[in-house]
Amino acid sequence: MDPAFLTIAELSRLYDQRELSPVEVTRSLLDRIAAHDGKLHSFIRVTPEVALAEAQTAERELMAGRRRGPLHGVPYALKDIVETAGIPTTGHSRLCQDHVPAADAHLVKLLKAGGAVLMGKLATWEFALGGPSWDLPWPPARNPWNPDYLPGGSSSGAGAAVAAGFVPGAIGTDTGGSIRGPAAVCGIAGLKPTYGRVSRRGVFPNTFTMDHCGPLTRSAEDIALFLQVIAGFDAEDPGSEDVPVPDYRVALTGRIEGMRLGLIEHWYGHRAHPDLPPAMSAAVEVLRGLGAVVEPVQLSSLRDYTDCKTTISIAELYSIHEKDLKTRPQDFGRILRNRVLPGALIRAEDYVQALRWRAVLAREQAQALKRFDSLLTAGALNVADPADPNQPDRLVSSPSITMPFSVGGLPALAIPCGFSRVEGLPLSLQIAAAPMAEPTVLRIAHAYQLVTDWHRRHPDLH
Amino acid sequence: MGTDLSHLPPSTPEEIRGMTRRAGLDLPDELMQQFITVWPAFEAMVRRIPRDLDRAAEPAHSYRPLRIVRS
Repeated sequence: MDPAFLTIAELSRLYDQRELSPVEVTRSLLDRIAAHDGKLHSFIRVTPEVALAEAQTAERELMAGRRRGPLHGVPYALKDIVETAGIPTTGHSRLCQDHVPAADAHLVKLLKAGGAVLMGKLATWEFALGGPSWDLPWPPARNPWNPDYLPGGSSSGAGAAVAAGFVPGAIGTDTGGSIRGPAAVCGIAGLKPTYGRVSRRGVFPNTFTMDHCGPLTRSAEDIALFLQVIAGFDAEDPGSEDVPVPDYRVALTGRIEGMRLGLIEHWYGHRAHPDLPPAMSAAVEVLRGLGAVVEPVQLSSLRDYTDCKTTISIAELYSIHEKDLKTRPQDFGRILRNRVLPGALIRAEDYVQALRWRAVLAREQAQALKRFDSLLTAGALNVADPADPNQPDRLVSSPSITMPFSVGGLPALAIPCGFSRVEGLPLSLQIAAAPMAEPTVLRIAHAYQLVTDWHRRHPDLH
Repeated sequence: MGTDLSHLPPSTPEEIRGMTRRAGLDLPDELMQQFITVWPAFEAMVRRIPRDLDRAAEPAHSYRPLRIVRS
């Protein structure tokens, strides 16, 4: 049995039934990576020795009837800004090319304790911001649906590796959309949890006040399984929230009758890929068919959210990279340097005004979520970008449809909802809810995926 | 006058060089030229931030001493 596109839930069931073993799956996926990643560049570093050792341990334990949790024996990979003891963690940057951490990030410790199998470290935009870049020590990752296109960013390798069937799940990070964007353009699921739900300790910072870690997988059910292992309070992360972790699988009832969903159509209605609005309308009809009540809702413009988020981000980013920008600016990739340097000219009052505005915008979302169980919009405004080094930098020129929920710190999940007709590339639906309401988001997405098959379509790598 | 700073004229290349120097950055000329190209979009963005929020509007992130003590 080829395990390439089995979900985590399916793998676990087959482990329990002794029809597949962690070592067998790990070997098969390592072979697949070796055969195909040469044209996708999703991995910066594959760790076969670690993977096989962890798979053997998991296999012994599972055979002995000792299951550690939902990811026991399940291969995964980490965006290369997540620190791993003894394994280089580069941030896809010349600046950290030789950085070998002494300790694991907190979430890596949780994944190890849960018996998951680390396959390697994944490509990212430089320090989770600067990309796609062609002037770094490693090439940018490519989109498995068509390698002439990019997999989005900044969790570019995570999106590509999961979509390509190299791993059933990966850890990415999301400050303004870096999990949801790649998930959207790679046709997989990607969750930005609530700010404070998953520890950021041991993860290279981008924007302290908006950094999130979260999973990318092929289904909403798998997101629930992954989140179960990594969610929780970490006293050593100042942003961590001390809120009990529910059993996320309980939310996967398949029932959404009577749920009230607010559709934010004005964010994508006029400036999106032409195939996106019809795909969104079809997704809304599916949800209505399941008994949900979908009504339009109006929030501030994407431009407002993007201005607020980006001003906060570049000020914080500059504080992180100031020393290196002053002493070795040429070691940054051009895109990262030109996105971070503006932070040098942000005045204190600009930053504080943006923080005050953030509270106003977040309150607007909170008000909407008093009327609705969830907010729906598109996961991305366009399909994947072509892999063209001469494309203009769109960070500031094009508003982002993922940044609003970064500003709100809300849980937001991107799942596939169709394909474009001309390019044949994935389109995506985004589902958000109130802080810590991940179960609501997962319940809606899972119900949708029970009656649709977009998430079961896979690229052909041959 | 509006509630933001969008009415201000864009900074000139010489002004950008001056602000960058005052920030303590001594960029090679090629990198400075790149920065002069990208800064106007960021400047326009920052100037769109509203400046007329209620006097009592708190920033999204206020100091929470328990967080520091705990960690």
